[in-house]
Amino acid sequence: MEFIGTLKGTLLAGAIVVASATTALAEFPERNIEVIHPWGPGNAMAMSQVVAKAMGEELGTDMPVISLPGAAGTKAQTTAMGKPADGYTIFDGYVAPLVLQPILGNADWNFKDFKPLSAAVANAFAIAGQVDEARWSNFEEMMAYCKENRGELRYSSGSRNNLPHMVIAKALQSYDCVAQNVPYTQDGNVFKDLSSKVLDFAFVNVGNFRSNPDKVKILLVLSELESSKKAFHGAPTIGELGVDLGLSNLGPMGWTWWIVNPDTPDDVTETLRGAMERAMARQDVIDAVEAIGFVPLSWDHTMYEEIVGGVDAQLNSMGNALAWEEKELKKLQ
Amino acid sequence: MASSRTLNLIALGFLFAVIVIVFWQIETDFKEQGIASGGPYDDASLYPRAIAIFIGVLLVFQLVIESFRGRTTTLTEVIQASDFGRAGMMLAVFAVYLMVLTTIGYHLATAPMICAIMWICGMRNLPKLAISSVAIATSFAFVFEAFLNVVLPLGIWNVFIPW
Amino acid sequence: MSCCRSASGTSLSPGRCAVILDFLSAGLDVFLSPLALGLTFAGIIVGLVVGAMPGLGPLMGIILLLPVAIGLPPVAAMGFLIAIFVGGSCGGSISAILLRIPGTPLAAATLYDGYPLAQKGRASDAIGIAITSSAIGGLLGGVVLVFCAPILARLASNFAPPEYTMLAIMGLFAIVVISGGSIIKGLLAGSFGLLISTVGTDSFSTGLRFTFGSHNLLNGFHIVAVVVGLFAISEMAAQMMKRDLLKIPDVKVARPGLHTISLTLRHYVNLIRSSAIGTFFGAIPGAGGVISSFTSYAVAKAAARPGEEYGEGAEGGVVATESANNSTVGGTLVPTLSLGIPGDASSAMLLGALLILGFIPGPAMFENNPDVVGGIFMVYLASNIFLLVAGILATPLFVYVLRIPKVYLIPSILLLCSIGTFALQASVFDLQVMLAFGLIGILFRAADYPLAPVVIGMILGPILEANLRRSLLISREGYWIFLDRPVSATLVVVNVLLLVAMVYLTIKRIRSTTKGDLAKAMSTEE
Repeated sequence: MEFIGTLKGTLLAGAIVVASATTALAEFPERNIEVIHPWGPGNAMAMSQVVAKAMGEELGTDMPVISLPGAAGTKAQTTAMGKPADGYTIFDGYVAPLVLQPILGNADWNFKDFKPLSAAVANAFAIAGQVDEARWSNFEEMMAYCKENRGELRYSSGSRNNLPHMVIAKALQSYDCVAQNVPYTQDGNVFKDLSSKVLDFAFVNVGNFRSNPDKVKILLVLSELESSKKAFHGAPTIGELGVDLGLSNLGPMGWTWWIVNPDTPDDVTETLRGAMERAMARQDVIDAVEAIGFVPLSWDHTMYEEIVGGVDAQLNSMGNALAWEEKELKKLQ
Repeated sequence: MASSRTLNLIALGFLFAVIVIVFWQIETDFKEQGIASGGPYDDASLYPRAIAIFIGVLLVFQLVIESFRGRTTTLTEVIQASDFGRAGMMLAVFAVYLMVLTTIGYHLATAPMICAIMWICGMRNLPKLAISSVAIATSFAFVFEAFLNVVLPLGIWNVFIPW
Repeated sequence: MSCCRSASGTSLSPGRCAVILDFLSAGLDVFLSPLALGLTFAGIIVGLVVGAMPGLGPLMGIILLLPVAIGLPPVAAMGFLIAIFVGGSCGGSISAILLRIPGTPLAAATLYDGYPLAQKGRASDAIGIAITSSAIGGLLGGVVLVFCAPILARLASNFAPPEYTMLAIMGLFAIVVISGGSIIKGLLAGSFGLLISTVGTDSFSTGLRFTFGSHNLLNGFHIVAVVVGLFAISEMAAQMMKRDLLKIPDVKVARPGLHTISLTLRHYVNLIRSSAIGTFFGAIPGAGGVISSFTSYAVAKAAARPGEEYGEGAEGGVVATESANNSTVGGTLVPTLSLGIPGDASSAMLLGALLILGFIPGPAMFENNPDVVGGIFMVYLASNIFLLVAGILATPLFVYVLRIPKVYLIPSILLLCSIGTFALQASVFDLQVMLAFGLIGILFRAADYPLAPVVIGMILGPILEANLRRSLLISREGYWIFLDRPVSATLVVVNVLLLVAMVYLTIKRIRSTTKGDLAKAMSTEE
């Protein structure tokens, strides 16, 4: 008898579970929504947690952010898009896995293969040199020095073949400057080694620069946005250079556009889009994004093809800069 | 059961297999990718190759030491086959659990797994088995899902508990 | 205070001590609110629990609770998160001592003496010592944080790739020292750890190594999945072989006592030395708690007095590892707060939280927001005091785990390991990795290979390889870069001396064991 009682209880509990599963189909969202983030723990992840928290509040659910770094974000994107197309998995679609890696032949997708929710944030980079630099006083002089001393300078773009690397390589190619990139896994260490004069120049992000503005000298802001110029204390931008790098708008910047699996039902996608747009319009979210050194973006899904397509075209047309750098470095060996 | 020498040889064999894999991959996959040569920027093979060689040298040393010890084969503490069996069965149950977890989900897979392990441990009281396995599975799910916002595997039937 | 004196000799303004005291008093005002105090205490409890659970650790604790924290006032929020960091860095030792399963990789070195000490019937003492050492180590790290942050930050910023390379090599030598049984087996296990850390995308060539076409392997094996597998799964298998599975274990639970504080303080030299090592490794971005606990253990073992049997339940072993990994937390906050460069992944999340809360870490924060800096100092110091109180009071609760019959304990631990490991990346693949390493753990244990070197190898591997290649790329004259830089050159000399000493000791040990074996062999033949 005791056993049958237990069995009944277990079955009842099972019935509740299954019942709740069926109601889940009726109203979205019925449970937590996961946001897959392509980088390791750090500022960018904390940023995504801010957006996810606000969006979760709009939807009345929790949205945990899961960090899944690896292979320039392609591991996370493959994993996220391999999950069921039910709207319970969102991908934090950074430019590296979404656009850049397919261009480099490391991923077999196209940005058009996914359903966009809304643009989230962008972050600008700059090229910085050492303070008290005696060899040059601005970016163009550094390029001239570099051209004269091929292979002499050491720089870092953080990871190899990432967006800052591509943009820097394009800039170097435009000036026929060959320098050795030194890959780092943590941006903070790039900044540290630049400020302690181990590196000649490097990419820096707004966050690291704001913490120690007097430790490095900003030579060139890799963005045309006025807000980015301001964030880097009014340093010259790529728009003010003598050469045209063919980059404008979001082209030279890091950014993320949240996306879902293309097979996600339309009503679910619309619910998510509405919630994300409301979240991105919230003042507390804008404040937090700006506090962390990022730029909040307000484009909705209708602008996806135009904006991301523009970046795709720009990066595509400059894709040979990395190959050029590799070839020139090999010549020097 | 197995002598310490046999176990040692199996471990050496395992490590030998690991270094074979390293060299095989460097010769095939690394070369195809073009990362098996060049300077520190492009050569991804130098470091694993160096460690594999180091392991190889150590394996030879260890083998020599084993051959000295060989004469004094000491038996490890005698373990009954049934004791080994329990551990083996636990691992088998756990392996099956991991295999089916994605398909049938946490809530349907976990209680049977716990129940099976408790059975292997020797518990035969069915009501106790049922209650404790369901209780353990559910209470852990509650802590992780309700407090820590972890989404446990739902399986193809999307089974979850809205806490 | 010596830091203050030396500080006045540098570019720092005189009267720095007074400034620090101003920070602390400003911080104290903000900290002494019921919310901040309460959340700091709550953070310690959460930290101890996530630390003790195999799989989750301080980093996951911070990630999972960051969304809650960012809605709070700054000092309360930082109190909560830093307390999770502090509690989590200590919590792993509890499961290491009681169950022979390090709750986090940080506690891997605590296994050496913590578990044997508990097996001697001194589980409560072992946990008490671990908690007290953690708290005192943390406080010592805190003193350095408060008084020497700028100096230490400057020292750390002089550590470039060549210095990291030499430090990593020095860390590898620790494997040899701590391998109690066979040095060769220890080295084999450590090298195996070095090798498995190469799986995944190579950050230099961007090529894929040993991924066999699986996207799951693009970032290699998750360290936690490996650690949980090696230790927990193999331990559960070992437990299943015992015949007392249904019995209620007869374990005496000692009353919580302040005597563990005096037990710990007896090892004051070890305590101070290990805390110094921990703070130092913490302050160098990227080194972290695992390396510091292993290194401290190695140093403590090398400096042990005769009669102190390291590896067989020596109190000093627990003191060394636990004071080191908690003082690392204080050390990690140094570059995080004073340079805005995170010392490890956990402090990277703390940095993110601080930015969201509206504060930019770096020298400017010390000038513009002394109350927040002081508040963070205060919550860090208070966290360690709360850790001592909460930890000692809760020791009987933890030890109660030993009274649970194994029939319940084994499936519960397996489940906990599974959920904890799954939670890291929502990945069932990580669970398969865990099981695979469980099988390797069983084989290694059966063949008498130490498991802890695998962990230190896996942690040191990427640091060694990346910094070696980075150094060579930066260098214009090849390997000479290691001798060109004064700090690096000094470390090269230290490493050479250590190597010579180790080769000598190894030969001596091999000679004595082979002689012993031969003698034994001859006596059996007779």
